[in-house]
This record gives sequence, structure tokens and C-alpha cells, in this order.
Amino acid sequence: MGEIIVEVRNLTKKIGKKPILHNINLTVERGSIHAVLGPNGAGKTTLLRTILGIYSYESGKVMVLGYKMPEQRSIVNKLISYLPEDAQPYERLTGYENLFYYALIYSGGIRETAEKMVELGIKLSNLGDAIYEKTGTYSKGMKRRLLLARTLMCKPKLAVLDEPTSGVDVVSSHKLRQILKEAVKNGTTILLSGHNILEIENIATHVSFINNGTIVAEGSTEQVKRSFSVANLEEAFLKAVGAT
Amino acid sequence: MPSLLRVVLWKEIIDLLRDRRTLVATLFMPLVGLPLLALITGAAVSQETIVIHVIVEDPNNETISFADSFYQQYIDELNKYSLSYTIVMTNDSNLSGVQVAIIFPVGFSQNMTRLDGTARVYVSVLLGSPAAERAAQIARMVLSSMEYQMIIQRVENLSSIAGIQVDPYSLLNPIAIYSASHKPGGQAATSKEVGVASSARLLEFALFFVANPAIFYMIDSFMGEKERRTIESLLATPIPRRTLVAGKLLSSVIVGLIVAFGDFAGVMIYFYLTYSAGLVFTPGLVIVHVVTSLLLVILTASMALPIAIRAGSVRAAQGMALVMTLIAMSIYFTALVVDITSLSLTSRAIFESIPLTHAVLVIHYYILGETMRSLLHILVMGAFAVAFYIIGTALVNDEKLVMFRD
Ligand SMILES: Nc1ncnc2c1ncn2[C@@H]1O[C@H](COP(=O)(O)OP(=O)(O)OP(=O)(O)O)[C@@H](O)[C@H]1O
Ligand SMILES: [Mg+2]
Repeated sequence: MGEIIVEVRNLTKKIGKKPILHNINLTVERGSIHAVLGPNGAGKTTLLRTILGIYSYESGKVMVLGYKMPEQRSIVNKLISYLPEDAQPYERLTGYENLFYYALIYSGGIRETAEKMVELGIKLSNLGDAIYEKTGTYSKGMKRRLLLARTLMCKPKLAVLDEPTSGVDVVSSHKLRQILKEAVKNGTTILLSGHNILEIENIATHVSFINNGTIVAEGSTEQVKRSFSVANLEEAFLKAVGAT
Repeated sequence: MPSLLRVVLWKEIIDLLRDRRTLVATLFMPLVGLPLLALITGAAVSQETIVIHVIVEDPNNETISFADSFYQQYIDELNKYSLSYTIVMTNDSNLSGVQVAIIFPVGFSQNMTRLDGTARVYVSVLLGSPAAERAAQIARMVLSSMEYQMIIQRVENLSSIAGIQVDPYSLLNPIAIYSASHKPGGQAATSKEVGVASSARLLEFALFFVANPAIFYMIDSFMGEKERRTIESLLATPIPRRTLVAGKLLSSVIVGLIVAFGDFAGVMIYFYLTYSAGLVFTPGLVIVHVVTSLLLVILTASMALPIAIRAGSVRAAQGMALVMTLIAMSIYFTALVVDITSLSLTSRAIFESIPLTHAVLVIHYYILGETMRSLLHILVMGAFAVAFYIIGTALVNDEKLVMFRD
């Protein structure tokens, strides 16, 4: 087993009085593309936000890159980046300016470093001249590609992507998988969520199935398929959530 | 300035300035609306034509000649106030279609010419017409000046009957009242100083308009980003919370000031159009006003910070900010009307615990020539602003900035 990037132990999270996550355990290894898969309302977004330290939690332990969350967030936030599920760019800013703003934040305000990041971001977003338009004029998929590029351009040690492919067309989502694989080669570990299992089967090296706030299976895609003795992830998932 | 703060400022300011509609909307009311209001009111008032009848019911010649003389003087006065009117002298007592009637009833001259008679004149005004009320006021003024002439005439008659020599003016004015102003040290205030003091009061009213746009931008800052779904990813970046708060506060203040400058111009034009006479602005007063405005904008924006961060939604923030503004406004205007410095210690402490009061005090003490105390209240305003900034920073809670809550 390689270096552990994210470690979640016995995590319990309530919203108000309602328990959302129960006794969650999750391990993300360095260099993996780890997918958290589950139906709507399973708790994927809540889990990612808790890992990122945006949400507090009742009990358990969350470690990211060896730092305790949420206490050591200010260190961790320099090393990671996050694409929320329903994030929007600043619509009065151009695509370029949206990238530049985050690049300046990640580079600590150093222009040269930021410009290099933006260069990569423009390449990743593949938006052509639209990058110089206000993002208010973008389609949903164009916005998603811009934001994904913004998340990866800073070459984080960990990228947390909540449903990265939502709203993105087939060609773009194929391209996106290439981009993710490329990012991993450059040293980024990826933790993502989704419910389109077919799409994710192609890229994920590891999966965690989540249902009703509980992890029902975890491991490398091969391990998981083997343990349910099935040929593909979808069948494994249906078995895991007890739908068959 | 720390470089990340510059980065946040850069983004916030272009974001706010590119929102032209909002900018124009916030500028419109004071910069265009107020002067327009003054012009429209002025134009409407001067266009209103008042129908005036001078009704002479008493056929006696002396009444007719008195009424005639009133009629001439009245027209002179009406013209002085540049009112628009039609006036006729008639013996028809029908008041329909008439807005102001000055009626000399039967028996007028008989009472007027008696040494101790009281002659009656009726001034009747159409209900609910402010313009008619103004014209009637002028009629009363003319009548009383004519009355004064008659009193003097009577005194002269009396003195000749009694065979004594008197000066009727002194006889009628045993006491003359003179007005003057002085400063706290007891020195007499010059007429210029009096003018500056009353101009300063108008400026204090104008201050209130100056604070509003910044509040408006402030409350949108965090809740607006929450609702526009732009804040969540930002919370996972290395940007320190205090930098984010400071950036949003400063950008609201800067854009708020740009708008406030326009507002200020609008309010000044409004005052100029409505009270043109008697405004005296010295460089000192203008500087004090600009400094106070700046601080007031920073102060009110930072007071809105806790609301901006914790309200939960833009709508809730707007509601809370409205309540805050109304409370602040009532206190502020009370502070303008009441001389806080002469209140009992407890009442004064209550007023002074409200940050906005200090803006009034800065100008108040400046006019009295107490520069040090004026400066002290500037510092108090600054201290309040810093306190609210610290509170605001402490209130930033990522979970609350992201999660929907009832
Ligand atoms: N603000 C909230 N108040 C109350 N309950 C909430 C709140 N946010 C989420 N929940 C509940 O928590 C559970 C998990 O929600 P979450 O958003 O984590 O699901 P998800 O797996 O990301 O779903 P999706 O695939 O639709 O994005 C749901 O049952 C949801 O109703
Ligand atoms: Mg979700």
C-alpha cells in the first residue's frame, strides 16, 4: 500500500439532528483516482465537504496529507483544490480572469507563477477564444470545463472533484478522463464522486460505494468486482446497495 | 498591502464595477432623483395658478379705498414671491372656484375709523391647497403691515388729543429683541461662523445618504457569493478568512464611496436648489466632512459585516440590513436634533454607545472650534470599525456559508 493521502476513520456527521454519515471509513492512496459512488442523497457531497474541513463533524477522525482536519486546514488548503458539484464561475469576469483570480490566490499573489498556471488552465479548459468572454455567456458544459481546468491548473497534491462530469458532453467527458489521467501522472491524487458508474469505471482505480450515509464497499476496482464476483462495477454496485 | 488582499480587491472591484445596472440604480436616486425632485416641486409650485378674490361687501368709499390700497400692495408682494395667480376685486361674495378670498364685510370702514373700533377682515382659504395657504399668508402679512400704519395713526391722534409729544414707534415697541450667537468659550460668533454652523447641519443630514451604498454592497458580498455558488471552492483555497473579509469590506467601501460621492453631489444640488441662500462652505468644513464621510462609510460597512456573513441568504441579509438602517437612521436623526453634549451622563452614554452618533459629534465639535475632541470622535469611529471587522472575521463559518439552513 502506498502513501495515504486521505484517511477517514469512524466519521459521523449530523446536519441539525439528522444523522447523514454513519461511521465512515475511507482511505485514498497516493496516485489513485478514487471514486465515491452512490445514489442521489447517499451522502457523497457531505462526505467530501467534511473531508475538506468545510463541514464540522461529531465524531471520528479526518486526515488529509497527514494533517488533521479541520484544524490544520490552512496548511492543507495550500496543497489541494476542490471543484464543488454546483459551483459557478464569476459571471461578470471572463474565463481568463476567473482562472487568473484563483491562480493568484494559489501562487500567493506572485504574477509570474500565476500566469504559468493560467496558461495550463487555458489549455485544459480547451475553450478557444471563449476564454476571453464573460462566463455569464457560457453554456453549462463550458462553465464546468473552465472550473475543472481551474481546479487542476495549480497541480494540487489532491484534487477533490464533486461530480466533475455533470453537464459535460460525451466528447468532452472523454477528454476529461484523459486530463485526469494526465494530472495523476503529474503527481495529483484524485478523489471524485459520481453516480454514472459506466463513465467512472473507465478511469477510477479505486472505488467506495456509499449508500444511506454508509460505506458499503471499498477497494481497488478489481478487488471490488472480485469480492462481489461480478464482471463490472455496475453489477457490483447494485449488489452492494442490495438492489438485486 | 499584503498581496493576497490586493488580489481579492482586484477581483471584487471589477466584479462590482462591471455590474453597471446596480451601479446606476444606486446612483440614480440621490444624484438624479433628488435634484429632479427639487426642480419638479419648484416647477409645479410656480405653475400652479391661484385664483384670488378681494371681495368688498362694504359699499362705503373709505372701505373701497382701503381695499384698493391693499390690492396694490398685495400684488406687489405676490410678485415678489413669484407666485402665479389671478386676482380680481369684486363685490360678489360667491366663493365657488376661488382659492383665496379676502373679504371686507359691511361695517368695515365704520369700525376702522373709530378710535377704538375693531374692523374685521376675513381671509378664507380653499381646504387642502398649500399654494392657496401661501397666498393667504402673504395677504395676512400685507394686512398686518397696513394695520401697523393704522395703529401709528391712532397713537398720533391720541397724543394730539392729550397734547403730549410721543414717538409712536418707541411707544409701541417698549422692548426690542436682538439675536446673536456665541461660542462655548463665550466669544461672539461672526455671521460667517453662524453660516458655517447651519451649513454643517445640512452636511450632517447628507452624511446619512453617504453610508447607504456601502451597506448595500456589503450585504451582497458573502450571501451573494453563497447564492451565486461561487464561494464554496474559494473556501478550499489558501486564502485566509481575514483577507477575504478585509477584501470584501474594502471593495464595498471603495465602490460605496464612488457611489457616495455621486450621492453627496446629488444631495448638495438638492440643498442648493431648495435652500440656495445662507450656505457657507469653508475648506475646513469640507475636509472634516470628507473625513467623516469616509469613516462613516467604513464604519457602517463593517457594522453590516456580521449580517453579511451570517444572515444565511441575500434576502435575509437585506431584511436585517433594512432594520439596522432604520434603527441607525432614527438614532442618527435624533442625534442631529438633540444636542447630545448637553444630555445627562446616562443618556449621553447610551447615545455614544451607538457608533453613528460619533459622526455627528465630529462635526459638532469642529464647528465649536474644539478640534481635539473632534479628532477624538474620529478615533472612536475608527475603533468601532476595527471592532466590527474583528467580530466579522470571527463569525466566518464555512459550514454556514455553504449549507442551506432554515
Ligand atoms: N442543508 C441540509 N439540511 C438537511 N439535510 C441535508 C442538507 N444537506 C444535505 N442533507 C441531506 O443529507 C443527505 C446527503 O446529501 P448529499 O448532498 O451529501 O448527497 P449526495 O450523495 O451528494 O447526492 P447527489 O448525488 O444528489 O449530489 C441527503 O439525505 C440530504 O437530504
Ligand atoms: Mg452531491
